[in-house]
Amino acid sequence: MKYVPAPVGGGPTDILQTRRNFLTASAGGGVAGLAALAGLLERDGLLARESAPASPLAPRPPHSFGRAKNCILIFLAGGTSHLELFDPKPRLVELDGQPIPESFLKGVRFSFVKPGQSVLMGSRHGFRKYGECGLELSELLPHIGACADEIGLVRSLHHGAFDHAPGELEMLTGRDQPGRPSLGAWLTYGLGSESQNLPGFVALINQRGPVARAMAWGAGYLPSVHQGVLLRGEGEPILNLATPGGISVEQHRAQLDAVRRLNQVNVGRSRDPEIETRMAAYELAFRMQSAAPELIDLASETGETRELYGVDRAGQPGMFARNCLLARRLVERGVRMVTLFQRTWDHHKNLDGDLQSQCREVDQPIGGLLRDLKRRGLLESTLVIWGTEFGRTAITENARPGNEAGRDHHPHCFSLWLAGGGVRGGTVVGASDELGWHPASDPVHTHDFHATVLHLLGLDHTRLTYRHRGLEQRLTDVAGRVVEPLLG
Amino acid sequence: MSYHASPFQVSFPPSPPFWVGSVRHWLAGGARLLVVLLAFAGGRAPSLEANDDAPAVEGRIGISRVSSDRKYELGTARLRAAPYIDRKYTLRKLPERLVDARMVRTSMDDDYVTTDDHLRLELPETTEVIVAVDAHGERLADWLKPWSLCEETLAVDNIDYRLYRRIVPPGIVTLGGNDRRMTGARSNYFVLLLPAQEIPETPALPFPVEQFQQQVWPLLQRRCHGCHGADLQEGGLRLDVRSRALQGGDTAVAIAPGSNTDSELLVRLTTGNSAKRMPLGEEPLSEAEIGLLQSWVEGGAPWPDSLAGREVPSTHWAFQPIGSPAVPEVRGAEWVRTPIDVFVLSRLEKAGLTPSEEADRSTLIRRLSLDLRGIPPTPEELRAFVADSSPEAWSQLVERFLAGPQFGERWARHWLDLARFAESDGYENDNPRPYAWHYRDWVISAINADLPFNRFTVAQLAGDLLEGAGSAERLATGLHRNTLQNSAGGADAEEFRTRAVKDRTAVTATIWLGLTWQCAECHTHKYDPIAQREYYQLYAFFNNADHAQEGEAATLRESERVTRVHRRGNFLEPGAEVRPGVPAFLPELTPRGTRADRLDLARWLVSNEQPLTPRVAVNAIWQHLFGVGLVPTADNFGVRGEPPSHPELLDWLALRFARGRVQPGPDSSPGVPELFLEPWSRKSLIRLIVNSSVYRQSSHSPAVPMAEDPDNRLLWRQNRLRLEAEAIRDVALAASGLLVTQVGGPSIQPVLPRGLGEASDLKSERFQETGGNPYRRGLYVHTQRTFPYPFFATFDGADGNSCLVQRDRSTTPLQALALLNDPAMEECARRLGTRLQAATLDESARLGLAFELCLSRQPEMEERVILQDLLESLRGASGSDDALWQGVARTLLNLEQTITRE
Repeated sequence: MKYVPAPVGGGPTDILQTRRNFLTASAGGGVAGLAALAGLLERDGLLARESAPASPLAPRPPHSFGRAKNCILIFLAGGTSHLELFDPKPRLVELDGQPIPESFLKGVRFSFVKPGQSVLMGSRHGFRKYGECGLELSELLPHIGACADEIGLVRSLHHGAFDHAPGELEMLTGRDQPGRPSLGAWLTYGLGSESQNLPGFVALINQRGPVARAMAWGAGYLPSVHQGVLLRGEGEPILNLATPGGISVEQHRAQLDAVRRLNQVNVGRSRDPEIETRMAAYELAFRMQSAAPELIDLASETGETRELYGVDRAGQPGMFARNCLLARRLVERGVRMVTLFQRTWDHHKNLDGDLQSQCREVDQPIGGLLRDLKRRGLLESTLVIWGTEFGRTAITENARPGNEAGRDHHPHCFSLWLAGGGVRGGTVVGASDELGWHPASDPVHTHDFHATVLHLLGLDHTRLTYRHRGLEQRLTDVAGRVVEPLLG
Repeated sequence: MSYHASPFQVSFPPSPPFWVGSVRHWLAGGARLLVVLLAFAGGRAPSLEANDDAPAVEGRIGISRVSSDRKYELGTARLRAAPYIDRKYTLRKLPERLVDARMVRTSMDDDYVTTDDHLRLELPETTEVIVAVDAHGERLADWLKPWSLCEETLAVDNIDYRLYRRIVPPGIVTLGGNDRRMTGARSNYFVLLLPAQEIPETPALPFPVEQFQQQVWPLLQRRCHGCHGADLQEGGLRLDVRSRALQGGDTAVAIAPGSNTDSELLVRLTTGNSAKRMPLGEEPLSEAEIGLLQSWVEGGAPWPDSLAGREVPSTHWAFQPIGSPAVPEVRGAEWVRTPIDVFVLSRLEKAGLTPSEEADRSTLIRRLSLDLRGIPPTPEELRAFVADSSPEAWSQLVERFLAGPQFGERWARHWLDLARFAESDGYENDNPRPYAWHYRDWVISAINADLPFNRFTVAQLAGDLLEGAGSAERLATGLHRNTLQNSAGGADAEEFRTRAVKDRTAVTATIWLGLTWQCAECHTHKYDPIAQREYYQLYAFFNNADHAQEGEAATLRESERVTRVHRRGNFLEPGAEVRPGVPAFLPELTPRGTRADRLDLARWLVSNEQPLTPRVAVNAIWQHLFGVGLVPTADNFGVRGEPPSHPELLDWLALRFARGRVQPGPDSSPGVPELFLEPWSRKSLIRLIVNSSVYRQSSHSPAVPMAEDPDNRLLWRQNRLRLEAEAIRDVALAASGLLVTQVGGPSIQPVLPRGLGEASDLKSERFQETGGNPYRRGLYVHTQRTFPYPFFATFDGADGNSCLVQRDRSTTPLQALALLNDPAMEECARRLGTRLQAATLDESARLGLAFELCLSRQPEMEERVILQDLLESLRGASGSDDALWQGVARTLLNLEQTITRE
């Protein structure tokens, strides 16, 4: 195979050149299948990093020292009930069946319930103290509870978006309307990606995805290179990853070589640096074609690890567990942000039964993920978040307290937790009032939550800005303060 | 108010008169408890029980309401008395004069009440009401703020309490909740009651006017004008101009001469709520400073003429009338083809730069074809143009492309980005809008017919209000039917209606005025001179228009709605009423009738005096022909936007776009041909620009000017631009010979990549091949708001969720995967391979044809060598002739240059 030297020399181009010689040589070996080539390329990682200084996804130093390098956001969409899972309310149990005092209804809107016809409902599920810290969590979450000493729990989160799409957007993009970048896009914008063979921001879906769909992992007004890549848990993990049928590896490689060489000719002619960016994108695409199938091949995991997550349990749990395991494999490979979605938590009715089965599905995999990260020494550098768009009302929907009853959407006060990545374990921040209705102390707004997540990853939320529409835009708009007690 | 039956009612008349006579006896103590509770709205009896320890009920003071179900009782204040019913804490310190005062004992647990109507007391005579508040509280309930803080304090156990007092006349006094919810009091308040003399009338002393100059004005300057002065008017309040200060802000009167309590200025200086206390985020004013302002306001707020100040109109360039700049003198006149070239050359000469040479002919025809039609030239068009060296060849090509139907398709797509066009509702249900394409087709035909931009504007904003409005005008109003719509079960209809109206307001302001209007939704614009009130004046134009779809017919009805400012942007907090109007920094709007309507607004937008519309429209067209506008922030002509690179050129073009070329005159430089411009003609303007030497420059980047002006702001070359998503698809379809040129009609739903089921949820079936020719242009691909066509999303396509002024041009690995492997691209590569294979040509000529189809040129020697290498490798790999030419096709369709307009 002939190699046509490029007429442009100097600077990064020369390094690229070296790299291309290497690529060409590997492919020219004739026997080099994609997987073998990928292995060589992985070893080549350091060179790749140096060779693409202009790449928008090149790793960038944080603003300050943050212990978290990566983030796994487990977004359980629909609205997980803080009253059943995270925030015990004995007074609410006492008041079960009573109408709600009028003072609670002022300024509060509902999606479905008619407050005059609804009554207070206490949790049917008990709470237990977990860990050395004695964190009170639902008895439905024993595996997560076993990691209580790693968890920082917020019981006073609040915002104003009371429907699913606006609520998801509020939690994921900081504003309840379309058009903003999602958290993961901000992270790769701020920190780049450590992975040369995989995208920096990956989204995974189990069963139903978020209502906001692509906006939930979108780049908003940031350059689209920062949008999350939707990875599927089975089959083709990335859209258009497989070379069309009938094109052999050799043909594919020959075509990519020709594309590269023809592009290189044009670099010399028009001297537009964008051409080299495009060439680098083709190389990453090619590496992804090899790296992504290896990523989702869970056969290399031990039986013990699979059991830890519950991967092989019969029925639904297996799939969620698989995604949790995949999330670990992704951050292990340097992916900056993994968002895992499951939209099965909108319990307007039959709260008791549905919550039990949902918890059974996610508790062991999430607990397994935390423990697996911990024992591999990854938890310190990986921030794990239980996310949702809102909590649920203290009053019933559809029925009087009983097996059929559910709860409506409640964004005015709800809970979520963070673990690892520099979070102070075994802490509780904020408290709700005795009905879990409003924050009673240390309220944490969405902007505060986002400021804290960015801080944990070493980013100052006031300095992570992008100019759009003539304004320096931020994830936290013009607000947000870091929730200090959550920091370890 | 109604009284609920309770065990205590026996001793209380059902309709109690207000008490008369002396109250000394109850104040002296010994009165028995008298508690009457108002049941709350739920209709349930309060869970109050009689308290055996309570003093006897006798006397004529009553608790007539407690909004929660906690106990509140009357007692007597003395040392070691318990002020709370549910705690054993006792009074440890009590000023002498308060001993034996009546005390409303409250429930400490009743501690997060935010209502303003929590506790009502019925008082028989003028009484001094004293509210005791935990001194640890970080914020004071709003209702307590106007009360006077006593110098004396008391203590409960070892906790100090502050006392707030007010003297109230006989009757009912209403106290609010303690507002502990966020960072308020640590515990609930309790109340002490003392008989009082009549409220003293203490006439305020007139404030000496010279003291304003000496003390008040310097204080306002130092602490207030930073945010409420000439540069910034937070909350719409301006305190450096007398008339504006007395007018107040967006939501309240700042200064009410003679009344501190009615003056928001003083309320906000003294509030305990740190989110509201002024100066925001800074040290509060000292007590002496507050006292000064209090006595100034109480004393009539005198403000001498010498410091009255006046509002200076904005000096921002974009808001000034369009000038008529003279065409400058230049040295390199031989390069000049149009007046545009003179303006650009003049700037370049000043910077010591020279323009680039003209691009070669094949680059030129591909550029013009992609810019004007969105598809590459056919090999026949290409060869004919390259061979035609006559001076008229270029202008003839321009005329042919402007006249073709693809022109309207290409430029309609630009407009549809602005119009946030989509074919579904958005939000959760994202229902389809099966008739939305009629609006898209109206845009295509209006642009093809070169409907003047002023009429194009009026038709879309107010076509329904025109006399004799027909179906075309009604279709045009589809612009504002493109808003998102939420039909989810729990959606609040009024919330989403107001959201849609806000969207229409913002989109109108962005498209025609180039302003980020939405900033003024919640507060007066931080940078541009748009008051929040003015935002809602523009909003009011759209607030009465109700869009509906009945079958194929779109309807727009006018309704009667009063528009009010939404405080903090929240529709649940209506403020002052506003009438439709335009902002004060722009020329006045003169309505046809008594109240301005949408038709008045539309005509005002394209009126001669209004400077923004022509500048913004010209800039948008320029942007599509150079990749970046003369104003690079095409969506922001406000103070925070970037200034134009060539202000005179922008104004010269804007004036001619709006008025047409009135007469040949001072514009013409020697040798500049006359180019007739129709007023508001899009085609005329495009014709003028693409005939310029500036447009026809090469896009290559030699080293010298790159170092001087790397962003090419001075236009020393053309720009290389990655094609838009639709154009990438159309180039591939055209090269493969698959492209179907049918104009208009229902949208198509192309094949999706394999395995999209989970992400697309139930919506994915709408993207299956459901009829319609899959080979039509990208413009016709169905736009589902929550599930954009993946190929377009990968290439930064418009998702129809918001007004998109500039598309991104990103470069990502997913784009490589899409071009290599997407089923649509795979088919194009296969068909292009077949087309090459079928051509009765030798191998070298086939390679030439392949290059012509994808890149609109012949390959150079170096490129032929690479292609020969490719053929050799592919022969070695499989040998099949199909695979050979399909491999060449796939390679060329993936070239950076194929998806780039040079």
